[in-house]
Amino acid sequence: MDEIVRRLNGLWIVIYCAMITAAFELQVFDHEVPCPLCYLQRVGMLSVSAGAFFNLWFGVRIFHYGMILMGALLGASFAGRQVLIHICPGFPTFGIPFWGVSLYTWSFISFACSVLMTAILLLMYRPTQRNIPEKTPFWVYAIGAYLVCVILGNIVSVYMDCGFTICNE
Amino acid sequence: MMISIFVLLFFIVIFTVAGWRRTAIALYFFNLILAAFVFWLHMTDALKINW
Repeated sequence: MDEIVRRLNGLWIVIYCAMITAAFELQVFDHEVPCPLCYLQRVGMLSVSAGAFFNLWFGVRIFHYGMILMGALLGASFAGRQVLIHICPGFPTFGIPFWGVSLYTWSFISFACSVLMTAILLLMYRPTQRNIPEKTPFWVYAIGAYLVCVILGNIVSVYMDCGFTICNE
Repeated sequence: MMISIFVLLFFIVIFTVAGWRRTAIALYFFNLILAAFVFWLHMTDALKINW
């Protein structure tokens, strides 16, 4: 059971990093320039991923789930704000929709799923999950490297779009 | 300013791998506060005010 929980945390990071990688694909190949709120949603996703990485590296703890929850709620407020901006009838949507749903709406759904996932993993929590393996498995290093690559990609992207400003349109 | 949030996230992961848990946690919360502040600036349109 403990290993399943660790692998679920790893899967969580991979899903969020894959979502941001897909956003990069739209940004580079479809010339879809991200808005400031889009960048903030990426911050929310990466905060959730960083919290899950804490669980992988230091062992599963309730404190880390609290951090993940805070990141998910903050990200949901960013995405919710953008949904509300574009919700009025006749108001144009922003960006290329995926399966008929805008990316910021998917982002909101993902943060809602993160809150649900946190609740499920907290129900599965046992104190033995705090123990970490003596030798860190290879897949944890691989996930960490993927997370670092995605963060570095975002740093380059933000620098090219906004420089050192606050991304004011 | 936006770039500093991502740079902070980078250092959170690096400090995690280095085993500096408390430093990484402190940076994590600072990162959330910074992101919330930037969000507040955008939400209130404070940037459009001619100070």
